[in-house]
Amino acid sequence: MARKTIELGNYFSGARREQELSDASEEIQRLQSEIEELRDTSDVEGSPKVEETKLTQLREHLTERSGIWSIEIDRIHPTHCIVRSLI
Amino acid sequence: MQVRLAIISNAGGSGKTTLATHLAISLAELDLSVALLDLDPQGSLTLFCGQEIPEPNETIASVLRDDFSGNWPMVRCWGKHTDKIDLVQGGMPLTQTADELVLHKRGAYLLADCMQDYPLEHDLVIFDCPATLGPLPLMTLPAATHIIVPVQLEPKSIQGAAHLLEWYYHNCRQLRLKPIPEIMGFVPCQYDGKRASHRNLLKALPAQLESMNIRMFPAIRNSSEFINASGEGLPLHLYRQLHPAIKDFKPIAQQLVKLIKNGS
Repeated sequence: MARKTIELGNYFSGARREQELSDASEEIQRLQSEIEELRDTSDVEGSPKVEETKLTQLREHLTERSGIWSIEIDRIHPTHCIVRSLI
Repeated sequence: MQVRLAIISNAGGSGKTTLATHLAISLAELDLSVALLDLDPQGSLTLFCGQEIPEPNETIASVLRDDFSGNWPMVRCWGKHTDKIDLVQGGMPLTQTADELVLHKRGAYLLADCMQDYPLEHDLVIFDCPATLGPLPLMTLPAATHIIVPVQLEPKSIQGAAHLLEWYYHNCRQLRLKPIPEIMGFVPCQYDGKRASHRNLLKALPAQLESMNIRMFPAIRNSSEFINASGEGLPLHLYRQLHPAIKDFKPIAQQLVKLIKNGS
């Protein structure tokens, strides 16, 4: 009777599983860094680039509205009296 | 580039130290410099290199202490024949080192730290590891660029090597190594072509390894002359210069030269 050959596949099944886990974990890390990179560079709402643009616009807007303004006197009207019935 | 090669197996008598010394002399003959670092408490490299048993402060245990200041305790190997091979001896002091490593804050990274802070200038650094998968071989994963796995063509040794692969992938993830040391390959050792079990396993093993993208080198043949040479503290190259087993190491040596010269 022929001698039964040793099934080496069983020996290496655990090693193969660990290798697959390592490959998967490497792929996850690669994808995560790709997502981070996209977030940093893209124009999606909430990305650092969009937030920075909004801040710059707000700064410009506020700068335009600040300081001492010269306004012609006839453009200034008294505040309308509010008639209050119950005082 | 400098290649730092960890020789790891998960079974005793698989041929780690034989592989270490014969790769060292093979590369020295090609004019490349080699440092052998013995991480085994058994200290077999001391015997295989014909050296005296060292004092504790003359072993690699002193390198792994917090007060190490870069003075690697090296001895020249086979100095009458070559000036290319240095040895940092291992031995019993490493049993205490192994215990201390478990509690050390840098534990697994300690050897890599030493190599980074006080680099060796050799073309090839070989870490000869103990036969069990403990804190000492674990330390070589962050320190090594490559690992090589000697294996006897026997079920126990092959099963041990398979568990070693599990250990390797698991710990490279746990230690978050980037890059991870590359598996250079498996080396079947002590191959006796007259034994059917050796022939069958030598035939079956490559398919398993190929499915995992791991290379298998041609087998190193069995010869009692390896034992005789080690008893004299010599590699075969210096003990019996014309012995046919010397050429068995050539493919691995050539691959190492390629890595050192081209980085791939």
